[in-house]
Amino acid sequence: MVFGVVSGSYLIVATLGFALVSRTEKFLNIAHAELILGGAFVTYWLSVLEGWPLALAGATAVVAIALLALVVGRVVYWPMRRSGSVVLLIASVGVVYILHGVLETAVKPGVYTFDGRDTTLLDVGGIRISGSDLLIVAAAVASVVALHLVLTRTGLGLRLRASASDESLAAGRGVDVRRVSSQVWLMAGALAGLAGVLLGLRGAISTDISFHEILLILSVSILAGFGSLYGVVAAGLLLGIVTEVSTLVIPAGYRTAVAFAMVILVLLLRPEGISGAMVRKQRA
Amino acid sequence: MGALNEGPLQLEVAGAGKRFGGVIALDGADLRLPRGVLGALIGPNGAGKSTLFDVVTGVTAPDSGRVRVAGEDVTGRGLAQIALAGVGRTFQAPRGFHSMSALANLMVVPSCRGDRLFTSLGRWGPARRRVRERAEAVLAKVGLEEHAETPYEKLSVGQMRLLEIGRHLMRDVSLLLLDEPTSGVVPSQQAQLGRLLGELCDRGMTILVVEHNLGFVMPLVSTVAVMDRGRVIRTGPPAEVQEDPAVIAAYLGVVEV
Amino acid sequence: MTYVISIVALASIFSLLTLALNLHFGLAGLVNFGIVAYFAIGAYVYAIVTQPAPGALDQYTVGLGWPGWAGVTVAIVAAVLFAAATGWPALRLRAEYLALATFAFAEVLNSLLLNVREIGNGTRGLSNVVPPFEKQLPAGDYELWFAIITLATLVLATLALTRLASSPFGANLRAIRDDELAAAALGKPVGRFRLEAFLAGAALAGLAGIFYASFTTLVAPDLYTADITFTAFIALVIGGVGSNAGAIVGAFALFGLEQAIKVVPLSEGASQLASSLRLIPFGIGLILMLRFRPQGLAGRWAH
Repeated sequence: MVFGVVSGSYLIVATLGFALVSRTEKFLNIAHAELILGGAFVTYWLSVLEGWPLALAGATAVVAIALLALVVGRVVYWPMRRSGSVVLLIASVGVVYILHGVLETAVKPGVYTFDGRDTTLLDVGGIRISGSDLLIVAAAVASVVALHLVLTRTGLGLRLRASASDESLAAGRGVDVRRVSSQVWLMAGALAGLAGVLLGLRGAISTDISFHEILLILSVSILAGFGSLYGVVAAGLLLGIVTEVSTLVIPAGYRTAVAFAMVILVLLLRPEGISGAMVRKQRA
Repeated sequence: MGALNEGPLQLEVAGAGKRFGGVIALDGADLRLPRGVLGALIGPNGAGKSTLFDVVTGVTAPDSGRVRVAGEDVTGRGLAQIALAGVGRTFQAPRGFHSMSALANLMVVPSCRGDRLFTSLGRWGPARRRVRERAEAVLAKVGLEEHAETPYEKLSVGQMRLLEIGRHLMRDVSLLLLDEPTSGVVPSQQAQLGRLLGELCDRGMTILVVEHNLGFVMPLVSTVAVMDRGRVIRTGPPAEVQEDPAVIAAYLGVVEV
Repeated sequence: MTYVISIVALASIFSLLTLALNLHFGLAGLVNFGIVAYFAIGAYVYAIVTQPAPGALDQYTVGLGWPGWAGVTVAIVAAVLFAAATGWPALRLRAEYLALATFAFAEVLNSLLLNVREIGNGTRGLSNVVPPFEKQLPAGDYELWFAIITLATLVLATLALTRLASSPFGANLRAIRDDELAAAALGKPVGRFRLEAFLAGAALAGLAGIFYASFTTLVAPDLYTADITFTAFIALVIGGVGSNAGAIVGAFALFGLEQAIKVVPLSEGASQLASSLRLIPFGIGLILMLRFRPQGLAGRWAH
């Protein structure tokens, strides 16, 4: 159960960036998982191969991936923003291929672990949990709080919500839509980079896992309903707990299938997810 | 509509109600349109005209009330089903098949041999030719015969609207509902549209037009229904309705004649 | 020389798959991110139906040992049934969500094939799959004749699809793709037309799967991954969405290249490197096409 919360915390951080982009740029950027993987490997490279302290390596990875997301957002997606969500979705497949190709070429196939992960189990109020796991939960809480504050308290947040609901209207009111978009990519990239660090903290990493990760992120997003960032918190925790608990009953190989089957059911029966967003076609 | 007994009703809406979240779009709207009449539905923005159209044509289902087309109760049926009951509807923003020419837009409408999966590999040549001839005739009727091969995207807004009506003329339609057909259309084409509607009505079609452009619609129609805040507040001939103080109060629109 | 033959054969097989995708996406406007599922079902069901009954060392439970043509029929029917079952609910979803739903179904299928060993031996898969026409082929030039038959099938499929696209049915599909609401306002049974197109594409994809299984003589879950779906999409976009010729050109270019990398003898490391590197130009090609020439090399896509 505790591991479910840890799992869920990771899923929240991984999905928040994705959900942010889906809400403001209005398409599903399935390259998000590649960004996360990139964050994990940059952290690995800096901390294990270059000998940096883990915290510094992690922070650098967050910044690096934020910048990468910005570049991709400006170079690939921004010029196509009027082409429709389907075209952008397909374009994101292209980005997946490019990023994954780079990762696969740069990284020899194999399994890698961070050094300095704190795996000793502490006793926190009766729950046995490791330092790394605590860090993951803390990171999730911090991300949610930070995002909430940015969205509700800052000028950026207001501008963001304005252009998310109606771009031309916002532009007409003087909102620099392009700058808002750039800032969104930076935030989403930072969250992805952070998720990558957490991914490495949770366990070993390898180049094939990005596929599995994007499936999980999609699952959380569908459960949460694509418009809502707060639904992500609920859905992430739910999915984290369910997948951890289900390993008691179902062999591990099925876990993704279970998550996805749950998702298919949600998509078909109640596509609004947990918090409601327009998914079904207009009634014809 | 109104007190005059003009014969059998083509369209009857009784007590239609519809709310979207907290907003009441229709609040017991009643409408009675006799057969063969050319009527207008007017009212200020937000009065519920488009919602009424949506409810009548099956785009949304009403929360309450009933809709009858030529005596048949069609309440709650979907768009395609109501279309098959002889109802044709155009949209506020003109809709059409943008990958095809104007003629092809018409040709796709009727059922034809070869329009299902298994028959698509069979012999549909002659049937297609017959459809083509019919489409050319309809194209001429709406005045677009020179634009048969023009790609849809190159048509002007007015031409798109004429084509939209043309599509419905390719099938069995006895009730035509037009949603702001002159919006975005140049005056010369508006006149063309008006003539077309008059001709169709003379041949027995029942037509209801939602319009803000009173200068276009008032001289054209024989009866007007006015909506305000989800209800039909007045019906009658154009001259009377225009003078009605309740209508003027509800509707601050300036009549441009 | 055998390299060329095997590349042509494989490219033809994947051209069939890309043509199916063109029917779904190019003609009917359905974003099917799970088309590999029908490909896989065609392959697996064919293998299961034609395999001999399981021996002592096998984990799979069903092997009917029927002749090839029975296998083909059952496999295609299976692919169509799967498409019917998954398509009927999924087709009413909006574009991206249809993409996700079809993707999800394909992943669940892959997971089942991998984990439920009773179906097809899990990761080991089923081997010794032979094409339905195996006995008719002269043993000497087997590969050449296999390629010829595959090419012939490709030509037939292209002719059929071209006729379909120019038929009134094709026009209906284009209309629904262009503006579903306008089509419905004309009384068109949108759901039914979509389903018909979906099932037809699934049948073709299943047929392609049978050929693929016969070509590789092995069916295993790792051969049927999402990479196939996405490479087909990239091939279609580059070749031209909506164009059958474009689909074939794209498929030959991309899948042909992939096969060439596998088949041409390079050192182990170079081969591995090449297959990772090829991902990059595929992605770049896709994005460049979408941005600068969305109709592809040959097509007339209007989006």
